[in-house]
Amino acid sequence: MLNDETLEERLHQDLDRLQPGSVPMEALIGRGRTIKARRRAGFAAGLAAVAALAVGAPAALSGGGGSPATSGAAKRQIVLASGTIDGKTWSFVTEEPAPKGGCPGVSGRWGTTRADFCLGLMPVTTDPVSLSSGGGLSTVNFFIARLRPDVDHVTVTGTDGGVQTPAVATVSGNRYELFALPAKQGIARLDAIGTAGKLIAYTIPYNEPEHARSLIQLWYPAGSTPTQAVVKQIIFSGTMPPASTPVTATVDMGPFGVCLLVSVPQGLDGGSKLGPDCHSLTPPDPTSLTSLRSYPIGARKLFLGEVNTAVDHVDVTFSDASTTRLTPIRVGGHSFVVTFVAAGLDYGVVRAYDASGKQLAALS
Amino acid sequence: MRAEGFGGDGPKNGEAEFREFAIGRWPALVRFAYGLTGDAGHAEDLAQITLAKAYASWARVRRADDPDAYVRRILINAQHTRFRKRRIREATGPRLPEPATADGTDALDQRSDLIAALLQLPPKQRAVVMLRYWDGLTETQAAAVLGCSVGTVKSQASRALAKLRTSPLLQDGSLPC
Repeated sequence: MLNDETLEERLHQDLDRLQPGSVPMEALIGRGRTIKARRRAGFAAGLAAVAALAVGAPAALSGGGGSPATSGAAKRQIVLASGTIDGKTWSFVTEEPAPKGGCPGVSGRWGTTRADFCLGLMPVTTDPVSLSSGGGLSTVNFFIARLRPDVDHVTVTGTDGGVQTPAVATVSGNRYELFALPAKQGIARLDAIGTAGKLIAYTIPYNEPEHARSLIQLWYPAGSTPTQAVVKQIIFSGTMPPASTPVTATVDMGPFGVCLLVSVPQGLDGGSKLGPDCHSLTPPDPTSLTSLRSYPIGARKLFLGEVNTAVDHVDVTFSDASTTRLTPIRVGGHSFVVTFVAAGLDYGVVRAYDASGKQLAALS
Repeated sequence: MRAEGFGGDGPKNGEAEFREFAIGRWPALVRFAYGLTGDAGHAEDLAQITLAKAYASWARVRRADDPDAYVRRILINAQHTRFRKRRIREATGPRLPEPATADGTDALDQRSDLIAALLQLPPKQRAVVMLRYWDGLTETQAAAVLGCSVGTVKSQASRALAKLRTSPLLQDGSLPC
């Protein structure tokens, strides 16, 4: 007889099989900001309508005419880029005029998959190109590459070896290349070509497992060759009570930089994959512990990060006054610390020491 | 110092807090959405729009007694809106309606009998089943999420169970009937 228990059990069995990829954080925040901006614009329009009524009503009562409140010019959609994947058209669409108080928004679409980007939020860096991505993790990923003024265009080499040069589109005075790739494919390399037609720099992005995102940390000038070999090592492997769920933390290092990834198998609200968090190959300063992070896993946390190679050990004091000593794990010439934090506990103070016992850094 | 202070420049701001919240809830939200839609692509999109809405109202979400319940409510409302829009398009659109699983053929192939049977239920009963039997909420909590009475949750759950018991999709012995 199907009862509460069997239904609950079967639902968990069936739904826990589904393994979502990482959170498309930038895309959903961009989408959230667009919603916020639309709400503000709607609120402002409402206020304008109330003001118009307040002004118009007495005039109408006295025989005069009031101006009807209008919601502004009609919006029109402009297709900035398009192509096909699996026989279905993908496109990047923007609306004009942009929502008042909002950002110039661009939406990548492929069937019912959609990813919204807020171009104004894309990081402005000194890098030749900044890249944002988002989309349906099991369908299509959308990419927006913002070009530095001296970059004429970018060529994209996919992990399947295919090379494409997406068309450049100008939005609000900035130039972008907008393109889409099947979710299972990542970006193997991006080449930034200057206005003189010569290679300025190139990057080898880190592709998340299953190519959910391609992350850029490092650019190499034309003519230079990356020296960092690819190293992948599990630095933490443990089980989490009450169901003895295995959790692993992995360091992935290579020409793309240093990336940390926490994997939690199915069945936990805490997530199947946390991160990756990537940074350059330059180790943290000996006096800095700011690269340490906590990764929420259900009610518990995994405390993880890179420290300088001069650090001999790290003492972590928890909110219950207990202290644990962490010995850095060496991977490819870098040092990492990692530990589990029990449910209900929080951090007090973290201190790093060198081999002589001298305190190098503290975080409190 | 708090856990969230790691990697930051100081006290955790709203955005950092939201990011942590989103990372922690993403898998569960996608799975919950899959239970409502039966399509992995739609589920991810629904989870994404849910968190985007939560981001847009983050001050309210974080102040809520139960932020998770608040976000579940956003998700269910978003799904109802999509469902209504699709019905209207199917009823009035000049073109043939899109198949409900336009992007989810793989997911459809792999969809279990139970999820397929769940999709035969009306949206509200499906939401009640997910909240009660997957999220493990009490009838009172489920009623709060759905904005209805406890009695409605009870009756909807009872009808849903009755329909699932007689569903031909579950007559293969996978669920004892």
